[in-house]
Amino acid sequence: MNEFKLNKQSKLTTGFRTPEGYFEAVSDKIFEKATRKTSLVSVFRMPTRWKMAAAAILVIGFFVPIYMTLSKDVFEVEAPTIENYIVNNTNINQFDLINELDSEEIENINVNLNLDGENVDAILTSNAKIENLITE
Amino acid sequence: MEEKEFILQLLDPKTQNEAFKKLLLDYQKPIYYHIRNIVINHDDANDVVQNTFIKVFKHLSKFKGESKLFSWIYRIATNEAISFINNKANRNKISNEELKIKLVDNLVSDTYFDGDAVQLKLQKAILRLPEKQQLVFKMKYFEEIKYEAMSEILGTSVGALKASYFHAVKKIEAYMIKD
Repeated sequence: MNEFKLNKQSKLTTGFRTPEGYFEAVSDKIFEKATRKTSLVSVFRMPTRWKMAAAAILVIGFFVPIYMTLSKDVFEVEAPTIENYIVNNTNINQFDLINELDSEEIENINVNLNLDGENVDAILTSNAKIENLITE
Repeated sequence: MEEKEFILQLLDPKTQNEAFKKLLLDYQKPIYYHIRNIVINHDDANDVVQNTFIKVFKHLSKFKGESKLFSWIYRIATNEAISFINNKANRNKISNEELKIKLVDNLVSDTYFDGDAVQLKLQKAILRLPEKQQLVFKMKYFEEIKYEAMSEILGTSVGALKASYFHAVKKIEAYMIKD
């Protein structure tokens, strides 16, 4: 082909075609899809059994979450668990903790230990771990 | 019927369905071919056409009549078709260009393509153009849309569209004489 001029030769088409009856079918399909609405049925026009079913669903839907909330096991976290968590999983050190406490709270932490010889002996003999620590 | 009156019918719930039927009758063929020119494959064009008109129906209330109904519908169709191609290319993890080459190659065995060797070569020549030039060429040459209407659809000045078409024609003519 030596020369090809789009405006001089007969018009070329795309060559695209559609299945037979395509436009009639697709038109109905589009119309149906576009105008489809969710049908709302008035409660007052419902048959009784449907009213009862709807009421049952509402009651179940309302009470189940309440029951689930009330029946949840409330578990308490023990102090050592919290302590271990703070030590191992956070960057909080004892100085940070002290900064968070006021003097009254620090006073309350104070434990009055009667550390005479007899009591120290009693603690050491009743607590194997401490004995291990000393021997180590 | 004047366009303003027709738009009022489309917006009025009482006359909306009938008016929408008329809109489908008037626009479904040109919109189908506009989309088909972009997505190439019939099944893909079918999906995009349906989405386009469903979108048109759902957004009728947002149509403010600032542009012509024709331009508004074409704009939705063009965006839908381009998004479809982008998503399809992404899904296949290839570029848009690679996807289009694949689609045109598949035309040889496509039941819904009855073009001859010259028509197929023209499709391949179009693929070599930048995306915007492809769109402008197809809209002008195949769909015979006037520059003014095209300008409203694509948001590009008439001058720029004319320049795009001119360059596209030159490149296509050069490609067509190659063996």
